[in-house]
Amino acid sequence: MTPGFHPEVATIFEKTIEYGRHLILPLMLLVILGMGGFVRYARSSMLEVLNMDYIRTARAKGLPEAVVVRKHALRNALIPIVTLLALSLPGILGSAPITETIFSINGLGKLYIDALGANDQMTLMANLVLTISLVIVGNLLADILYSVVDPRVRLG
Amino acid sequence: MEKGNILEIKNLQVTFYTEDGIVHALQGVSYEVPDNETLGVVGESGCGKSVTALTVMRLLPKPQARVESGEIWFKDKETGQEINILEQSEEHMRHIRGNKISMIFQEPMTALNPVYTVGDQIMEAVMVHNPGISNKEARERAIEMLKVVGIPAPEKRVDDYPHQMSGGMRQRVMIAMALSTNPEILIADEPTTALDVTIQAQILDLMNRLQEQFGMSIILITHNLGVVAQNADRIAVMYLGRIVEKAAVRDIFHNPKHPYTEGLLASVPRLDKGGQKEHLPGIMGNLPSPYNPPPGCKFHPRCPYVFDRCRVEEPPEVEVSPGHIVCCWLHTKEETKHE
Repeated sequence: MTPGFHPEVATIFEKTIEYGRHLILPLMLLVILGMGGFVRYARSSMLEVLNMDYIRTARAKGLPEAVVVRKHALRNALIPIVTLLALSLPGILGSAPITETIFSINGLGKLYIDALGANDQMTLMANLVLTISLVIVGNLLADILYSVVDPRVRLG
Repeated sequence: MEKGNILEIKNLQVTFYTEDGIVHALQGVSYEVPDNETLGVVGESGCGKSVTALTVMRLLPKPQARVESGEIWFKDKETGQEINILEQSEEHMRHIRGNKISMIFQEPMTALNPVYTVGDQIMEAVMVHNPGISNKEARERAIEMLKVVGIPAPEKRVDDYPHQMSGGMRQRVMIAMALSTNPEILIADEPTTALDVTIQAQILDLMNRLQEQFGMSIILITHNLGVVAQNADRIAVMYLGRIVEKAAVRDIFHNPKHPYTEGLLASVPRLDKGGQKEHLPGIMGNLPSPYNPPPGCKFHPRCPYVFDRCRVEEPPEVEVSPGHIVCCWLHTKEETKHE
């Protein structure tokens, strides 16, 4: 905590700034760590799509390059990324224990580590159930999103 | 430009700079497309048929491909202006592409974007070239075009995705899209190669009918001699990046001058001549590597009439009869054949 900051008397504005300041580093860690893979994946997906025949068709129609890339290429490049994104939902909890321990944030991840040390089975169980639910929700989300972006898998 | 031509390609040279080496894809290609007629461009894979077409559209892959020299003159019928396509700005090119010159491709299975409906994709072509048009009008135009190319129930089919259609229907959609803007030239790059024979005939019939209806020129690129025999008015035969012979259809089929054209025609199986067990002559040898083409006449290693001059010097274009042009030492004026 920053010297001179008293949570009991601080205004909401002061609190937001104080907590926000301490969120910068852990957030950067999580974002950079997670982004790297996605960006690489998006890049290779986009490069692959840009070589497709229908991109040539779009150019042959006389569309401006920006429309070719944003409308025709992006939508197709998104298909695998959307799936990946939804499936990585449980990673929110998965990577939290380490980050939260390093920055000593009292979050779900830290709770999990503390429960492990204290042999608190009920807390551990609750945490695992939560992780598993996220896996299931992530899979469901992936399936739904997939049919939204790719008409070929639409049902019925 | 000569009168009666809508497109003239003059001495076009295109080179690809690839990681594996330099390929001189086009080495001085010239051909003319007459108004309202069909020019058939034939040749085997890799001879530069498609590269020429892509150069006309200015859609060559960048930065590997470079146009080294040449001119492509196009006559805009609306304004009567003659322009060199290679000198146009990218912005003006977009106005020509898909509007004045349209192109359809070989693989109807992959040439349409799978995530948009066919209606969307036709409407897009209409709207980009008619900025004032409303969504509703563009949709009506799309339905009308689907009807023109013979798709049943176009009001319903307009909302179909490409994967809901067969190969022949997709090629019809491609044609509908290409013609939705009333282009002056349609470049058809092997439009029927991926289709089975009955559908092939339907698509070619459709193209002929639409040519009469819309009044446009067609560049029909194919390696199928049967296809050009029926559908083209003039034919240009290409071999390893150059035109070896160009003439009216009848001259090519009844009076071929270049040994390569002769070989091509001889290797087509015929139903009317010879027994079933007769030997089908092929062209001997293989296509030389494009990275390392032979000196002199490009065809000399495979030519049955080859003589010394062919191996060192490239033959010039010779007009053997009006409109019939051949690149071969056998037909040059100064007879050097029997030395």
